[in-house]
Amino acid sequence: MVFDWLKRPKSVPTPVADVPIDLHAPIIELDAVVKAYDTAAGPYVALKGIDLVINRGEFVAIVGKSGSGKSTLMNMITGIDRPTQGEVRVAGTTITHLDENSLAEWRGRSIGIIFQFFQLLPTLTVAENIMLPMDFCDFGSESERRERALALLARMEMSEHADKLPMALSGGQQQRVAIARALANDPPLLMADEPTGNLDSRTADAIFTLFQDLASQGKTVVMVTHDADLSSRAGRAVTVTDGQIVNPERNIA
Amino acid sequence: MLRPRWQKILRDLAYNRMRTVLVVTSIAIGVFAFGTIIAGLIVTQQALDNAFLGTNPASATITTAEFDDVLVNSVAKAHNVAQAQGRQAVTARIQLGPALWQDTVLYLLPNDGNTTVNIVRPEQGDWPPPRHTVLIERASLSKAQAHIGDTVTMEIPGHTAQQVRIAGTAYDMSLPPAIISGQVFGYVDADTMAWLGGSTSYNQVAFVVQGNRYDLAHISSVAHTVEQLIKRSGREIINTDIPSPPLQHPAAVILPTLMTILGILGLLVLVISTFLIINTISAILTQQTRQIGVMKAIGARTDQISGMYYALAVAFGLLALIIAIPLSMLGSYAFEKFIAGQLNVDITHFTMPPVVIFLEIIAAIVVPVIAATIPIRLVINRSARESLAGDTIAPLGVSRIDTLIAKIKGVSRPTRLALRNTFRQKSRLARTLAALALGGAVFISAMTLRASLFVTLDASIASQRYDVEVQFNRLYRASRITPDILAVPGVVTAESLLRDVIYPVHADGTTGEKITLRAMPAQTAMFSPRMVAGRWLLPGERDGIVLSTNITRKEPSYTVGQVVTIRIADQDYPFTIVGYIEELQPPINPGLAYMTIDGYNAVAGSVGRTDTIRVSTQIHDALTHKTTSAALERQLTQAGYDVRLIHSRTEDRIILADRFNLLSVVLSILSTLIAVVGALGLTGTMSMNVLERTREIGVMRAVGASDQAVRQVIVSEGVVIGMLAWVMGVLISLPMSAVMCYGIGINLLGTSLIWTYAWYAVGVWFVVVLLLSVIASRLPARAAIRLTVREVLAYE
Repeated sequence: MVFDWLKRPKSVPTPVADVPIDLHAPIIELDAVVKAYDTAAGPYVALKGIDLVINRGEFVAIVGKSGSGKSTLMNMITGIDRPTQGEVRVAGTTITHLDENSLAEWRGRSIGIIFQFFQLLPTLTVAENIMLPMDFCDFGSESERRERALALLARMEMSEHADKLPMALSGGQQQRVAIARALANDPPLLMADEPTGNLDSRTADAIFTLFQDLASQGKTVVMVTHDADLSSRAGRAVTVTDGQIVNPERNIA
Repeated sequence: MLRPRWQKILRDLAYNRMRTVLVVTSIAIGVFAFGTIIAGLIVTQQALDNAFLGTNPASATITTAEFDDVLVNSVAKAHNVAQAQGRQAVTARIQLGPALWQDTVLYLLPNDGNTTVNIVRPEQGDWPPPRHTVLIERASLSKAQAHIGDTVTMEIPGHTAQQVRIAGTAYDMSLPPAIISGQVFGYVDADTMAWLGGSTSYNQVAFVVQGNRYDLAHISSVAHTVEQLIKRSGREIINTDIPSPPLQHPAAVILPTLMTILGILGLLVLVISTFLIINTISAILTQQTRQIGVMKAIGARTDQISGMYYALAVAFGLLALIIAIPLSMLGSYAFEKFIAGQLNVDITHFTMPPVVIFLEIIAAIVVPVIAATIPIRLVINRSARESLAGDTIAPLGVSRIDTLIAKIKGVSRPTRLALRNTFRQKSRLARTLAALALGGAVFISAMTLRASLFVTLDASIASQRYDVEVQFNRLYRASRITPDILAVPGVVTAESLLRDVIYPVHADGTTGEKITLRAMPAQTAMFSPRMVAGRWLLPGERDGIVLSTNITRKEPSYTVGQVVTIRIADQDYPFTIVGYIEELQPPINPGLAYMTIDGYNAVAGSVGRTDTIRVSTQIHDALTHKTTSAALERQLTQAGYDVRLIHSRTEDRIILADRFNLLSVVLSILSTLIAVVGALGLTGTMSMNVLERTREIGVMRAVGASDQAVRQVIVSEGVVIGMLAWVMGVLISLPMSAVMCYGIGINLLGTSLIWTYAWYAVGVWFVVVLLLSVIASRLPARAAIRLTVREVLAYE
């Protein structure tokens, strides 16, 4: 099979959240999360008391229109932003109380993030981009990191591009590299923000299939999208409208 | 293999070559200027000290009535005297032209040429000097306007001029450099001295003490013993000269001040380059804000990211070092050669003091790291969300300046846009302005210092109201000589005065450094003193003395109103200091004292006699000075007068100006370096501004802006920055130049300089800044215009 999971090197430390997997245990818990911003036009409440639980191994699509608050919700889960009120618990850690440095360290080990515009560092090669999170989180030895990066690229069918710079790749190829980078530290949770928003439909479909495979192999995948067709193919769709979740419990598959 | 984060730093350096080159060059110039100056001065100081110590310098020199080797041997055997050497110095002159003579001092060398104290060494040609030949001190050969092998007309006052062949050169480090003293030094054997009419006995004994040669009290005590010994031989002590501090070359006194002044200017170059580093690191961080957000998102801690950017700053420094160290080695070698040449010292081999390399490493690494701290802290401490949002440029139309620009009428839209763009990155603009303005201020200040130096020199020369001065080797009746001088064509008036050498006598009986005395009528028409304290001499005043301000460096306790003891012709007399005048003198020249002819005659008894006549001419130009000098020389010699020297104000100015050349050249070089660093700063800023607005430029072009319009916006912005910097630089230069003139005048020359603002430098700097602004902005403008609209709009 093309997407066989990699065995993590023995020297790799166990991620904080990588306790014995209980597929039905919650990995994401949001409790009455409110997020308000001060804007030039006055205070703006982006999230209005969000309660959300996502279990391990789930493939969840967070859907909503532009400005609905879905990206803010993702930022709350990834710790990229902090709630004004409420508590966020992800992979066994209450992240609301962590400082920026602890958050970064925690994020590096617990979450793989995939961005709409790929956000690969332009001056690093494809392999180096994948090795970068391992470098920051001291994941494995030097040689193991390269080995693992190449294995992840092989899994993404991108082996021949390992030593190219990102600008030499197509959008779809860059997004595959971004997914490989997200998997570099073998996190239990993958968060993707409009991962197919910048891709043609054929490539978007391939990427989506990749997420499905990852979810089927035990990874929790949360994908923010405004594409209703894609969200219908996820395990669960959480619809955000005007800063509130309107269907927290609806299971699609 | 390097970790990816360090790979990123290396690639960032490599992919932004223009930016890297600008920053690295800027740091390298700063380190180069700083290192060159410090190394140059340290090596010169060491070379000067070593060369001087190699002459076995005298601990003291006592001048007395003529004596021979018997007394020298007695002194050599005296308690605590290690070595003694007899000396005879005779005033002479060498003819340079029909009526042009060069002041010369002839030294008597032992027949074998071997000296033990203040050792004179052979340099080129014959050694010791053959009969009826002269050796010239190597640094003063050019002043004789002759070469080895040439025959010159040499004359000892009162004796027949002889044709003397220059048999070679000698090296005498015990003397002040010819460039400062303005004299030729010659060495002859006893036969030649006698042939020329000079005395072959000694009038000075120079000796070296046993024990601690640096202990001034010990030297004074031994000098006292030697004085007693000489007195017992029936001779009076004319003067005892104990160099203070001991074992220091006379010219070494200027080096610490020179090092301070140039060191500060070198540091300024470094500071100016720091602004460019802050701007660049800050631009890199702004440009990479989103990348920083991504790195935070994938697990990078703040310290890891700041470590990366500090590493970038260190890398800039290391690259700069690669350029700066070899360049400063070459630069300091050239600089050392230049200063050493002026001070008559040899720089025999290429050396770079390790301490300077160490300082360069510190400067190249620490300065960029400190400079990077501000932008790194500002950007890295942003949250991951803010970083990912990638906010880069401040919004328009919110500041007062933006509102003000919007209100300006009659300005074209591209110009209005250029004006707005100028003020968009205010802190970057502030640093660019600071760098360029500081560069301009230093440039104008350096030129002002140069102008002030020469204006003070001119004022000093102008205060001497005579046109030509005739000095005689002996006293003549003023009533006899004056009509003869007035009969010379071109001479309008004449005034007689007297010259002498006097010594301040301290409370403990020791004498200070010699002072040149001029005794003249109180109501002189030939001198207009620039008083800085007290008053000028009064007619008939007998016990009053006026001193030049540079005396206070050696006699700091002297004040106006104080009664001081002065030794004139072996006798001590009390005089009251009635005033201080400013008279520009090269750093190591003796101080000047003025008293009335009546006052001098009261103690020296030369009533009605003179040895110096000052004349004024109808026209005061160089040609008249030359022709009048020649006429005076011809007629006075024909009339049988024993003329020592004839010199004009024009010649004095040339000689004095030549002595300030060193400072002038170094200041010009430093000013150029500062201008280059400022230009690099502006180019860097314009490149960053244009790079950050690549997308905006694309939009402008997409909506119809021509290449010319885009270029106009970018170049106008550069010119606005340049002009703002010019105005600021001019404003800063006013106090800066005043402080520099005061500091250098007082510390180096012992007199405050007449601050003369160099308006021409303001004009020159305007043109330079205008050209720099246009060039610095045209380069990035050209790069922006080359991009296609598609490329520009795709720019992330």
